[in-house]
Amino acid sequence: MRKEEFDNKEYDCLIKENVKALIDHLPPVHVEEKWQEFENRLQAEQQKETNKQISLFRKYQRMFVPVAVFAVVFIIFISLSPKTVIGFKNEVFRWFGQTESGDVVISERHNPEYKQGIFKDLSWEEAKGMVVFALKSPQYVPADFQSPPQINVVSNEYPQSVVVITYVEEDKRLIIKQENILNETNRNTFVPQNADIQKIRVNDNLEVTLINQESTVQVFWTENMIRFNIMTQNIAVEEIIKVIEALK
Amino acid sequence: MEFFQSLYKKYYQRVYGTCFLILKNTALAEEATQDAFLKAYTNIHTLKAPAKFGAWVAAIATKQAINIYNRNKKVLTIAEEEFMEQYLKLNNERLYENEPCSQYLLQEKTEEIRKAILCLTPILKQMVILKYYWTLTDPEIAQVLKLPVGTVKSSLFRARKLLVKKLTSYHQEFMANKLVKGEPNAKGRV
Repeated sequence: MRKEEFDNKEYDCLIKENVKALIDHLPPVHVEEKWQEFENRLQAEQQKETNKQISLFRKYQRMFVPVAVFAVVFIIFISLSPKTVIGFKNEVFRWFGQTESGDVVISERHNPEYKQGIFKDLSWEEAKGMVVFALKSPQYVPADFQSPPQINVVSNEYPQSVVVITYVEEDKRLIIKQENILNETNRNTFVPQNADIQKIRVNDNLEVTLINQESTVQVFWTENMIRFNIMTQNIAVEEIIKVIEALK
Repeated sequence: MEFFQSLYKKYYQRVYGTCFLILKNTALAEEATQDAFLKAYTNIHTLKAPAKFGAWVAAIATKQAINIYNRNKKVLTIAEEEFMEQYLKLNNERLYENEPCSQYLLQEKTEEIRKAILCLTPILKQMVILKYYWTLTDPEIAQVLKLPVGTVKSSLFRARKLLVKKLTSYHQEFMANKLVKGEPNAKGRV
């Protein structure tokens, strides 16, 4: 056989004819049966797709409920929460006082830091920093009290707070309370039947109420919107008056 | 759906044959064919030339078949031997009706070229099928397979070269034997 017999066209023809024979002359397939299979498969695929979409929808639905609940709670919380705007507000607390020589002193405190709660065993400086009023310190205490006092601060509704200074020595006790009164308040003091009540003047210009019952003495007065209350046990009245006079 | 059914019935056998030629396995060829028609049904709106539906499905089917082939590479080596033997001899008598060679030569030649075609790699077979059976042009093949035309041309060139090489060596060997025996062919040429 000559080489030219196998030229390009002949090869192409050979390839074409044989590819055709290989494809066309396979044993015939039952096409109807195959179509049924195809229809079933198509249906299954479509069902699968539908299920996929449903599950996707349910997934989003499941996600939507908590998100919506959270959003509603958040909105309610935002709308109900107190709105405190501090920006550009300068808070000034001012007290009028008097020096020993009778000069008027105006004390001021600007934007004090304020924490709510009960704070115990504080130093004098710490206690001063926690209240918005000018705290007075006892310059004189009876000689019996050698130990340093216990200082506690009770911070209530801003800016109200109470400072309690306690001296304890054996059976002797001296408690000095100072609190600022800013809002309308009503207070009743229970006076026992056998108690002796009297009003006395201290430093010529300060009138205090003194309740004396056996070994217990209570003294209270108000000065520059600060309420002072001194409670003592086994301390002489003269000593108590000295303490009041020395509160600076 | 009815329209698609008629197309399905019209082309199923040919598409199945296409897949079989690549996969050499009836079950996998059926799977590839069904996959291809399913894809065709879903993406029928993307078909630009309805007249070329058959070639379009065939292209999808060849891609599916190659995917299946790659997935089953390790287990696909055992072809259905007996079936393949029959397959190679199918319809021999129809070919080369005008070929002046002996019947024996015809049969040998046919089997040889078919074996050569079956031995091509799946990708080369895909090109050969789309070119010679589905009569797609090189740019059309490139379009349906989303390949550069150059790649298609080089693949076809390689496939053709492999087939020609096998056929040439076969004929050289065959003719050498003839010469030794001194048997002239029908035209009296050696």
